[in-house]
Amino acid sequence: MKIWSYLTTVKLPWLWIVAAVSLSGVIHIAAVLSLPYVAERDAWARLSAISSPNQFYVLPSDAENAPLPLMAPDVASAFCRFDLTEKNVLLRPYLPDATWTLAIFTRYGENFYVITGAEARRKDLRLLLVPRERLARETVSEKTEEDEEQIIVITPSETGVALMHAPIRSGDFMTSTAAALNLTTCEPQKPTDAQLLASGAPEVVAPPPVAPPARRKNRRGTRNYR
Amino acid sequence: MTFLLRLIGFSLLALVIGIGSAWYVIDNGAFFATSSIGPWQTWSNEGRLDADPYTRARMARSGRLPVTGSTALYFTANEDSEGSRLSADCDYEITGRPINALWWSIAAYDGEGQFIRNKAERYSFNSKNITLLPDGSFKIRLAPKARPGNWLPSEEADAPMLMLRVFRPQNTAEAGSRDTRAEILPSITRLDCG
Repeated sequence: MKIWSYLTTVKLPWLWIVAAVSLSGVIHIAAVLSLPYVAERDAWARLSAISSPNQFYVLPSDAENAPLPLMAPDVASAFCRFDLTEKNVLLRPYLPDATWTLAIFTRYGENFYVITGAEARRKDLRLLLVPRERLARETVSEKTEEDEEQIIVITPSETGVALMHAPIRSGDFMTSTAAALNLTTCEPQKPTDAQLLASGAPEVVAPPPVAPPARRKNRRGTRNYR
Repeated sequence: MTFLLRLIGFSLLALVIGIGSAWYVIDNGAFFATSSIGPWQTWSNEGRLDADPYTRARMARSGRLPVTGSTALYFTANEDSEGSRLSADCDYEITGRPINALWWSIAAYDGEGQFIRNKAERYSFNSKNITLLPDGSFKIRLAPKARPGNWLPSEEADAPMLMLRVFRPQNTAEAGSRDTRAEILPSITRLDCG
């Protein structure tokens, strides 16, 4: 009652107050909409600080070095910041267990593709990341020239993050699981023979066929982050 | 002069209300973007391409990369089941039954989302390493000092919080986390405070 009598006796600039509240609504909406584009500590920025594009890195998940907040202490992780500006990127994830997961995100953290070991028909997959705009110009096939199956993943953006997750029993298994995560590669797609011929590049004499090598522990394009 | 003062006051008021309310919703969630299930909260659309603007802002601010709801569900709790803020001065009992999923885990963090450093180097319990009781349920003790059983250290963490991860849930949430039933998720009961 006292407040009401105070408000009726004191002359407040109501028009200004109403205008300020209306403007605060506009500022509220602008702040929410712009945050993904101005955030300096989003996942992309944090991972950019410790990585080069198109290479897989094992993420440290110990108490001192965790680069992302709320990381799972019982999940080994590896990531690749892919950049499709110049070339498509070839991912070769290794999914030996049903719980192992490859998730692909846009630069703003939108998860547009995920595959787990439970869904993969084989442990050793081949995924070709192609931006939507380029798909209209290029012919990409679900079979490579070597007749290898590949999954075409159409990406809504030219940059993003591929993230491997491997749940583990406890921290004691982190090192051995990280070594298995190292089998994953991420690298720009090499031009096919047909593309080389079309571009007028000199013909390269193919080396004699050899048996495909067994998967190596540290294939090119994979590094430990430390 | 009066006009200038009013203009400054007008601008300050608009900025404080506008940015303050945006930060509040992004940090604490709101009914249109988050679901509260007992003490657990989840951002229903996190990680999705068609996520609402608040969820997108939350993801940018949090610095996380969550996998979408059909593959993984994430629940955080910074309150107990009675609604009181979790404190490192208190012991809590987290009780429940194993979640019907390929894998699940409960981890403790400090207020900044970092692991709570402890000598035992124990930061979580998961479906593979938790010790179950004879009736098939589990009890985790979130406590600053060592306790028998499934002890999850909270040490002297400022504003400790818990995260429950459910990977490949089966019958837990047929249409995403909004449909998760409260009885599936563990309860958090405060015991004694030191």
